[in-house]
Amino acid sequence: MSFSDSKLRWLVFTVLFGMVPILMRLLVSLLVAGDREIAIVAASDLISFGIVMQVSIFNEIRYYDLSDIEWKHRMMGMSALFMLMYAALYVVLLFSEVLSSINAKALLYISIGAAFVSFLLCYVFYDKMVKTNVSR
Amino acid sequence: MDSLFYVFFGVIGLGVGFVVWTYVDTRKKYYNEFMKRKSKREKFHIP
Repeated sequence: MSFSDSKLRWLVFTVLFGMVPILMRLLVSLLVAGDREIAIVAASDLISFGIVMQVSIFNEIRYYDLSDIEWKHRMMGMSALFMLMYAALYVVLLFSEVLSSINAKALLYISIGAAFVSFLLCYVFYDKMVKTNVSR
Repeated sequence: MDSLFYVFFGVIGLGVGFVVWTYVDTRKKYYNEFMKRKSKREKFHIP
């Protein structure tokens, strides 16, 4: 796997900054000891990471004059769909704090899956940008 | 509430499908470009 300059920039500035809540939670949960523990992973952090990924796609796609306009529209549609899903996930997450009937574990697993797929979506997006090399 | 979870799974599945399709499509196009450039190099004897 070769990493171009723009992919490396994406990895450092978008992925790493997007992962700040996840990493901070991990750090704090490792530091805190006692009866009251902090969860290592939380759905809210993963949702925020996913939103950062989708926003970066939305922001970057404007700057590329792609010949494959159909793909561009599909990508924007997919990104919008994922953002809607994150909004719905967040609403369900907030409801889970007051309603015990919501399966919090399933919500966490869905958030993990969605965040991972968002990362992959962002990766293939940058991969296509680099490979087709049609920039502004 | 379970039906909403199925919707989430559906969106994630759709995302996975899109990732695979885009990745394969990019590789296919990139490979074609590479072969085109390679044949041009060979035609004009460019190392």
